[in-house]
Amino acid sequence: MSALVEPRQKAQDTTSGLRPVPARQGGLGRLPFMLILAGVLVAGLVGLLMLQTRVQEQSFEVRQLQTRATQLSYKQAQLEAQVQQKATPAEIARQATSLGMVPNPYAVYIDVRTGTVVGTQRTVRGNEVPYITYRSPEQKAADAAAASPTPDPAQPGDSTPQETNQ
Amino acid sequence: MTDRQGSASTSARRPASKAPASARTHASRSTSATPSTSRSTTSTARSVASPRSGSPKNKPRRPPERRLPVGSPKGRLRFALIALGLIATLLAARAIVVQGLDSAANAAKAAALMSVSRTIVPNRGTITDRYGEVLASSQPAVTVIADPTQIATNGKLASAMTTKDKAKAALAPSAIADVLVQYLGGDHDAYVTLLTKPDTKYVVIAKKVPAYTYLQVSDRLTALGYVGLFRETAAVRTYPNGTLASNILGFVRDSDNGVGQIGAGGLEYTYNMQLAGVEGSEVYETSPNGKIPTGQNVLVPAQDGVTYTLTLDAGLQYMVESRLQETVDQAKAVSGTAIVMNVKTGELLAMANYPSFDSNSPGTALAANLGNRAITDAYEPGSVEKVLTMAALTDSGAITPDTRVVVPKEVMSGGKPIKDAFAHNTINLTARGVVANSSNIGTVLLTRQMDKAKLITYLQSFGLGSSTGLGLPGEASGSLPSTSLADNTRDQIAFGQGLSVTAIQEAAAVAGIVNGGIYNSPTIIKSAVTTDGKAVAVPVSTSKRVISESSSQMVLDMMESVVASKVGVSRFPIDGYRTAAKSGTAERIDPTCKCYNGYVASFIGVAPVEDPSILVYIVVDQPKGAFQGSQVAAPAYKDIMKIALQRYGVLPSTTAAPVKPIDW
Repeated sequence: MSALVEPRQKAQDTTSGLRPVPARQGGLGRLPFMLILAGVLVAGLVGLLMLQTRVQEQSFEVRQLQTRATQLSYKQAQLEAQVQQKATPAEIARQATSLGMVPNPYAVYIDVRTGTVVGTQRTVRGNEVPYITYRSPEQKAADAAAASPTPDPAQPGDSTPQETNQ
Repeated sequence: MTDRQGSASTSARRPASKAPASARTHASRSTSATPSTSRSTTSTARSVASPRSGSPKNKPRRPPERRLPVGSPKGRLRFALIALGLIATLLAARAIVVQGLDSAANAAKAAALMSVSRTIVPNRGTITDRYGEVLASSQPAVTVIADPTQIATNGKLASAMTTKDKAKAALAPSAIADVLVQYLGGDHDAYVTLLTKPDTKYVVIAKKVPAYTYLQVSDRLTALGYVGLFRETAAVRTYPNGTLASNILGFVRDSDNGVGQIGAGGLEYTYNMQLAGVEGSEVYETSPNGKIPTGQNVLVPAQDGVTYTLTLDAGLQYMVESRLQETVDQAKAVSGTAIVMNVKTGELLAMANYPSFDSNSPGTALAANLGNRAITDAYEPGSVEKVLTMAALTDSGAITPDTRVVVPKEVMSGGKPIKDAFAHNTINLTARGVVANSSNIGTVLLTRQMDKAKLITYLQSFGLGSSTGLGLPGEASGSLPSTSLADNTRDQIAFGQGLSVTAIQEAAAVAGIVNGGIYNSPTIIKSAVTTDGKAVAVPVSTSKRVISESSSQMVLDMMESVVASKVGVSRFPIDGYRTAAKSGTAERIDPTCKCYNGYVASFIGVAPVEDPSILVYIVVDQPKGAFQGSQVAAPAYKDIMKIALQRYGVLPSTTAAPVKPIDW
């Protein structure tokens, strides 16, 4: 029996020096508490509204930028097509001719180790490779006019019969 | 509970005190509604109310307020509870039906109402040449549509138009036509006719307009304040080079749903699936105000088509096509084919056909010109075949270039005489001389020294009689007699009649023979990659030894004599290079009469002899006038070979061609 009683007494002894904690001072009254709650609610709602607005705004922005990106991709595609068009061999031949260039079928090679030139250098007159020399429609008309009275001499294909006749 | 009971009792009491005011309204309402009910309530109400009522004047009107004689709150509560319970049960039942029983179906229905699905069309893959120059590409494009009804009022309600609106609407067709002419070209009046077409809301103004051009048109019209132009999306396939390599690239047609395109010829056809890519989709939730930003959004991006890089060299192809055109035109031939091949790898550097077509507008071309004759047309190769025969003869050990043969005026085969293209009496030629002079008789006599079945086996190993596996559609396999062929057939095929080949077979066979005896099957596709850089399998060249290296040298020796001996030295050499070549002039089988009619003139050559790198093969079908391969095809061969050697930096030969005996 005493075993049960003793600890209790002991506890009472140890706590005998303690005083009850005084009641909390200045606890929130009912009104301020409600105000705070209301404030939190309002802040939350406003925050949510702002977030929603922002998300909407951004989605509009995203849509606008996507449209812009699409338009730019269209532009890019168009420009790429133009580049492809300008890079075709036929167009390069035309441009080169308009710059006064003629194809040179007599290439020579430079051996960079020795600096010697391999091959025979020859003057190009411009009619060596008629089939890849661009002729404008006007030039072609002039060629045809020049060719009709005297069909033989300065024909574009003059090199061919020459070689076979040799 | 107590509160509610209290209020219930209060309300129950209230009518008694306020009787005069409300009684009138109740009475009037109930009498008009259901006379019988009102009567009964009147009587009950009276019995309850009368003891308390002091004024006899109000008596008949008071009863209606006592309509529900639930004296005790318990009754009302029970009633309310039962009612609520009923409603709750109904709702619960409905909820179970909606959520539990057909939940999936309902969810799907809801999602369908809200979500929108959009197909994302992939870009068709690009085809480029070996240096990356674009040969075929796809571009976003639109079909421009007009609504003439809308244009007539410039988008306004006809009844609500002011004089100013009417004046503007009257100008609209002409003003829109001006903008269209500015950006799309075309005829102003033709546009106006379309834009003012009566009684329709749909007129196609222009097809395959680049998307950006349409944007510009649309922006300009918005700025001017005109409406009525719309677009439909449709990709467009462009071939910037037009006719260049069109027989290889092929062409596309619009798919049945009008969105994509389907390859209908050439590589576009063979690799349609890979080029087309895989459609993607976007599923998103939408409201009347547009996409819901926080809604579900599932995006499966489209997989763009595979990009193919060919072995072709667009620059060389251009020159080859131009030269071939000139050749065919000058010879007044039906058609022509030219092949330039890398001897060491089997890669095709150029493959030209003429007449050809523009891949951008295949509809305007003749159907016969849409194919690729170099692989679809089989013909009797004529004397070019002697290269193959000599390869078989040397490799089997039957002959060497110096083997002597007595060539009579003619030789009998199957009861018919075989003659040479040049008239002669009995002459003494070496095997080399047989090739140099292109003697049919000499070739037949030499070939008779070999087992005929073995000859066929050789020709098969050179790739004759079976398609080369190039990966282009419609490749013919040609025809080769079986190993049990008749003697006279053997005699014929020795010099290239009685069997048929395609130009690509013949070119690949000769390339293999001169390439030290290693045959590489020809290829036209260098590589293919997906948009994310993964390699896609393409037909690869397979290599095999067909003759020994020494035999290869012997054949080259004989072919060089064609150029370097007195027979060809004035006509065939190319400045600075030792070359080996063979001309061919074959009688052409006419499929309609199954007889020989017209000729196929051809010329094949390789250079340089020391290290054969480039092969050029020209075939001209049915030339008029001069018909010999050496006359019709050789000049084009020379020009093309010159250009190709330069272009690939093949150094000129350092030694002169040796002059070796062609007769004795």
